[in-house]
Amino acid sequence: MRKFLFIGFLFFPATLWAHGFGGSGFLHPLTGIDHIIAMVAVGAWSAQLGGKAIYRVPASFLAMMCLGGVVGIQKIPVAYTELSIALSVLLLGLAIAINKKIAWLIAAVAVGLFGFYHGYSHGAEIPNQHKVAEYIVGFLLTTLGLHIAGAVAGLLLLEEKNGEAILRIAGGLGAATGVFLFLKLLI
Amino acid sequence: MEHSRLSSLLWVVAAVISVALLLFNIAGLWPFIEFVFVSLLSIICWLKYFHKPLPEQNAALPFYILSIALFIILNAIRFASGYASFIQSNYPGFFKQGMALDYTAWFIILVCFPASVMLFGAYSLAKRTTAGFFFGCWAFFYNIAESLLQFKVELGSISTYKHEYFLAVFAAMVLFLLSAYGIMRLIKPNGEMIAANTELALPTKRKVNLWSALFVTLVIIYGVTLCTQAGILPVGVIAGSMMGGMIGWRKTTAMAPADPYKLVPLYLLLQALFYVHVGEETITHFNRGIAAITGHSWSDKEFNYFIAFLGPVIWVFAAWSLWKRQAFGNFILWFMIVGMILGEPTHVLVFPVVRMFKQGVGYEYFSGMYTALFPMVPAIIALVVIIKDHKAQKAHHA
Repeated sequence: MRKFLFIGFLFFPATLWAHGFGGSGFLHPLTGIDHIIAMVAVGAWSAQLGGKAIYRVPASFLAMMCLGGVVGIQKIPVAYTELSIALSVLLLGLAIAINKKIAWLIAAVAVGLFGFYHGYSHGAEIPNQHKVAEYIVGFLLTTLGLHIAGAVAGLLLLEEKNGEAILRIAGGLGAATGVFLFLKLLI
Repeated sequence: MEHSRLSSLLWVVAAVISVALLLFNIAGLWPFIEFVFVSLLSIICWLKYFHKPLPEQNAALPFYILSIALFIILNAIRFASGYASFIQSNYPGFFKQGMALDYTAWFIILVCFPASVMLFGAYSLAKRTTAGFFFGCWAFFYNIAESLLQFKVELGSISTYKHEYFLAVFAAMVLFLLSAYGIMRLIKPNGEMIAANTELALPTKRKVNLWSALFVTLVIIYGVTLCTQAGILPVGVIAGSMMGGMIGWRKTTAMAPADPYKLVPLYLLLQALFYVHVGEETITHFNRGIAAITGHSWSDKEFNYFIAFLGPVIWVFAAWSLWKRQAFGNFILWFMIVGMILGEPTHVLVFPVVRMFKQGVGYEYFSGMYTALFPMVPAIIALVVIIKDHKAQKAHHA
């Protein structure tokens, strides 16, 4: 039972702030359940992979997110952004649920691709006359916070008896949310 | 019947009659009938099982605490669905004529009042007082009644109710089952007791550090978010209390969790008094008062989600976690202690004074002022208990 506390803790910011971002880069990653789950999942997956992956995988997400943000701010058209974000939630959840050890480089490349789309989404929604650098730093810092929260919560879970199984179940729930988001966009 | 038990019974009956009349006069038939029905049922149950040995009430406490958190979650979803205006327009005969059941009235009468009663009841149950059994029954029966009402209101108006993915129905279902199970545990306890610290595997240094990292990260995210929404003033109070709480937690209860039998009752009393304070802030629009002195607009909706619903869900859940001796509950206990002792007096000493300088007015009422200091009392006592226990443990290990 006590492990569910960690899962609840992982997702508590979702319900807390999913109502408008007032034009702030800091708030944008917290405005949608899709962003939050994906970012926390990146941290949790990196904890599951262990070793150097714990900082390299989230770093890849952040770097590509920065790039995606710049592309989004430039209003360069990129297709299927929302679908890709929903897919990222689904696949990251699935990765945690499957819990298969893979090379950190493969994980970093996959996560980086997702990061690009998340960054694009943030960048494309920048309010007019907003300071670009401040906005990008804002969403990168919040994303970093969510990665750390996910990674630390993942490590804490893995220290518990049955924690690995609980983490996999949490991943499964994340994947189910991804399916829901995906279908919502398609239907 | 023992003198103390007769005394408790008489106090409870007097209080039930008075509150029922109050509800009938200010809110109307629906709240009156629900309250009277639930209270009568609880008194009957209380009388029937009066002979039970008091310490066994603890078996129902974790379920009781979780049911309060779930009750607030259910109402948070109802808030998102516009429940107050829906029941007002669809069941006008059940409410007092001319009573505007707007958000504030709904929150105070049908959310804050019962939740505060439940929290005071939780304190009574945790302290194993005679009236604890009554409060246990009252909260579980009330939650069952609320679950059934949710089914009736939402599923009975399937095409007109604003369903939030039927989350309220799902929450009501869980609340119903949890409350029914809670009643069973209250009537037939299995005598579950909490192990002493010496019998538990205490947290390792690595775990404490990981928890600290998690808390710091969340405090930073929370602080930045709140700062963007409400300005630096409330952030200083809340994030400052969190950081102060974390230092206190690391120095004392991180390695040896607090004794739940001593601390959970105090924490629950603190929460009860704090939720009454949230009620005052809601009636008098604390967010607007803060917005006026900081220049940051802080909408009613955001305030309600943050302060009236989602915050209390986490704080109440922390009582359960504290009962289970988890790091989360112990950290939140410390956060609350620091927040109540250093943060809440700002309603009296800082906010009205800042307004004096900014707006050139005199020292006047500021939202939340009248109830801000009461949660300090259990907070100070809890602080003393923690420090005493910590010193005793250090002396024992020396």
